[in-house]
Amino acid sequence: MRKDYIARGVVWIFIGIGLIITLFPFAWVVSLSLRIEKEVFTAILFPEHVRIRNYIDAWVKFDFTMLFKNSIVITFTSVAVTVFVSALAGYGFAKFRLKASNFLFHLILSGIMVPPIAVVIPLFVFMRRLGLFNSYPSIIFPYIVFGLPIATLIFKTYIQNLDNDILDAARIDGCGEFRIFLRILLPIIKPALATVTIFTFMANWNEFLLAVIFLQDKKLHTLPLGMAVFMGQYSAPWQLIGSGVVISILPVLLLFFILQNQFIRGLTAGALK
Amino acid sequence: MHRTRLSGYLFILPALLIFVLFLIYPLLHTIYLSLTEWAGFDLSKITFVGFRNFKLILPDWIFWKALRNTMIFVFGTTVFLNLFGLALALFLNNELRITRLVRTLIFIPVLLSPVIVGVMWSRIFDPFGALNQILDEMGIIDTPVFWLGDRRIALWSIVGATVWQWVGYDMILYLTGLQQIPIELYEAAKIDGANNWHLFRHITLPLLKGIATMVILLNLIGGVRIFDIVYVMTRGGPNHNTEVLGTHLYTVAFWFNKMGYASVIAVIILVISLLFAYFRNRIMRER
Repeated sequence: MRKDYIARGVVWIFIGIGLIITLFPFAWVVSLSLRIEKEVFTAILFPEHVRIRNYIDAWVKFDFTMLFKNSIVITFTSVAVTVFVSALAGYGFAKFRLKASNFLFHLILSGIMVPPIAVVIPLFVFMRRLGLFNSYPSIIFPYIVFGLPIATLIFKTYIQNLDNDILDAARIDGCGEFRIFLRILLPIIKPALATVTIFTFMANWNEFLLAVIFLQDKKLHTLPLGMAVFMGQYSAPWQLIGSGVVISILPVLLLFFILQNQFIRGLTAGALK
Repeated sequence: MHRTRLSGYLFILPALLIFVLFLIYPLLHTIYLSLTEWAGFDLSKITFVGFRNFKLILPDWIFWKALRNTMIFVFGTTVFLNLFGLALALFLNNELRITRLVRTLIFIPVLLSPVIVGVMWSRIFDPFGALNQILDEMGIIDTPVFWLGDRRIALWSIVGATVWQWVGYDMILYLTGLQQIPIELYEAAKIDGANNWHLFRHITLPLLKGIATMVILLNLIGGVRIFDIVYVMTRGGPNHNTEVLGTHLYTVAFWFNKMGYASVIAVIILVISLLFAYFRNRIMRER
């Protein structure tokens, strides 16, 4: 029995250390964000003076109003289109007997294997030719296409397991196929809608590689891009970097604590399929 | 049951159009561009040069360094992520309130953009940053360690920050695996007099093999894509000692405008990714 206690103690020490390592950077950044300039390098966690005004300074310096606006426009549009288009496709693949269905589905699914960086150069050329370079659409279309494969897979799997009875009943009543999709299917696939929304939202909200290539106009910068650019300036004061980090992660953290389980399910949904 | 073919295809059409236009076409174009020479943005000046770009790889020492660093990063993160992820999952596999809270907290970094993680950790790893302060306070070091400036340490610092971010993700995946193991197996073995180590060795481990393979391959595939965190933390420095394939491609293409040669690097990244993906699919099919 004593051996049991020791083992349990060791386990909790391991977990404790893990927890400290996970949380310390957050505590440190919050502490950093509240310091006066003189104490940036002297305090470890608890500065003697607290300066809340750093947050206002950081908001102005980073131009968070603009960064949030861009991130929201780009993320919301790309997520909405991805969800709608892949739900349509998922329905098409799941409930219609099409000759090319299997081939087309696997074609779209193969997109999971393609890393964005492998196609970034021709996409860049293509966007320039379309005259879309340095505009919202130049980033929104790539976000849609890289979200599509997993989203389609999740919708197809979910819709496949639904009973045909409700859909058939609506058909007998003379409903058009698109109306059936909108009025009957969409309401019953809500869990899949939530999963795909969270998954694509997080991916696009945090995305950096495509943003840094397609959004060279400062007025179009998203949150991650704005943070990276600010970091790149040698004169960037540390305490403002701290406030900037806190401001940019707070909205996602709040969402996460409200919708914990949906988030964890949503983010791990595609991983094991 | 009446379902027209046409309406079925119409449902798939929008997805297919976007997919072909913004993925299939650029993919084929990458392969074509890797066979051309083309500087700047003037598309009329593209010249076909065959495999000449591929020959440029041999003398490009930065490429080989980037390839080596990418592989170190890929395998380094995979090993530690799985070790710690599995350990956490094993220790936190119950439904006590405190365990659920700990799991949630460890998952938080997964939500962050790698850019933010890079920003946070580049301050912590700074010679004047938190890590050196703490180590100094504890009397472990007398002179500051250059976590991102020392060529032997820098890449491992980036591995550390990446493991910090994603360990909660692997933990959740392993927990999903653990929860699929029927409790009856443990109960039966306990009646037969098995101790905890026996249970772990002869039930948990063998039954986790499937999920472990999946998680490992997922980490390998994700690792090849590394870009953001290096871009923010070191830009590939010092002296290309943290250069990875992604950052090398970015510099060659968008700083030096050598689009043809950059496309060769893109093709190589693609091939490595497809190789890992091929193994993943084969293992999936066997299961």
